[in-house]
Amino acid sequence: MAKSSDDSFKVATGEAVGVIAAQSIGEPGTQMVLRSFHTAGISSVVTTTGLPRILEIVDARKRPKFPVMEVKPIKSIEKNYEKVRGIWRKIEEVKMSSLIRDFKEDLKTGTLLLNLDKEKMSLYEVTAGTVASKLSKNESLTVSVEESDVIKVKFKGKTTAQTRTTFVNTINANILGVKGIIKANINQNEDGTFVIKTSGSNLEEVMEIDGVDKWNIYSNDMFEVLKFYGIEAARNLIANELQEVIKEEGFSISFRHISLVADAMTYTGTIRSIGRHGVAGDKESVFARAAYEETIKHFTNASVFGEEDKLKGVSENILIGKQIGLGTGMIKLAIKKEDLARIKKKEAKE
Amino acid sequence: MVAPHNLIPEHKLLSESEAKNTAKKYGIPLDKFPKILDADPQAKKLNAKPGQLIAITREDPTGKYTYYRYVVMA
Repeated sequence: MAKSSDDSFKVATGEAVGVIAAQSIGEPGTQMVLRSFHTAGISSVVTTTGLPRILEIVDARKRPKFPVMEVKPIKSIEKNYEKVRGIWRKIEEVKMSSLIRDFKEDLKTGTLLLNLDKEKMSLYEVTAGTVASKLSKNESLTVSVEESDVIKVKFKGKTTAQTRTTFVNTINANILGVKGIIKANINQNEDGTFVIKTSGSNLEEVMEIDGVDKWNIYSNDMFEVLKFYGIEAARNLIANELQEVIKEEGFSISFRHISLVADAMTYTGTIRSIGRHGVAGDKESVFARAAYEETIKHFTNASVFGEEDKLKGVSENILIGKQIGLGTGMIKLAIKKEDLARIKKKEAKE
Repeated sequence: MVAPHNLIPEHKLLSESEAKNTAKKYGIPLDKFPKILDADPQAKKLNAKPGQLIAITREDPTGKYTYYRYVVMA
């Protein structure tokens, strides 16, 4: 009987924790549905949930389909709505196209006239001057403010096609906020603190914004977290995301199993997927790899390169019919030489 | 969406003798520990070099415990 909750997580030497974890996750997995879309509560942040999200994590896809972030302001301003709103304004991306009513382009002379939308301009608190200075960061463009709500952009490309491409890019150019953040919402927690939830993730740039709790941003993009927060943060992210998705689906799997998956995925210091391109494909034993997928490929390669199998794992021993080195199979019996001699003497007497 | 977590646990660089004792305690050579790249942001913060051991204080539903990672070249 376990004494405390911490004790209940202790495990006997030789326990096949991996197999137990696989079964504990696999069984509820068969009952999960393939329904993926879900809006979390009242906030309009859309993320992938359910089995598709689990697959996204264990396959270690480079980008989640719906990246989201949760940005916390620093302690001193976390209850100040105006200050948080200031951060929010710096986060949500505003493109040139959402600030204009219409535009006129003349490809022959290479001029683009942008008619700014005054209502939108006052909503985002920008002037034609700031927009123009933002646009002129692209050095190949000549930007001038014609009237208070008209901006003229000149560009002379070698071909008409090049001019056209540049103009399309200009209209899609980032004016305010962080690139890739499609939408951001300010949410208030029960304790009165504010957090900003975003659709789209860009840790690198959001980390640099003043007033943001730099090391406490939550992003569901594990490769971004790996790059800017490190492997341990990525491991925590994988475990937390798996746990949350499973909980949302109405199942409860003990954290010990989920964390084992996360630990296996991050063992090498980078994120490996579960499967033949990752954890299973990196196994040392030829038999274990061949037993999983692409049997012939592994056997031919092994014979060509003269690979050796030390028969230490589980599946290779099952394959050849040897006792596996787990549980009681882990224990080897040894006897001292003098004891053996004594027993033999005793037996000889009888 | 999940309640905000602090994703980054505390990392601590171990001295050579501490690393040796840890390896002895678990009965495995240092390079059999889980790895962390020397280019990892947390390893860089500690200025860790390949061959050193980093102790990580983890706190999760299974309790509070120390996890170790061996620094390797990226």
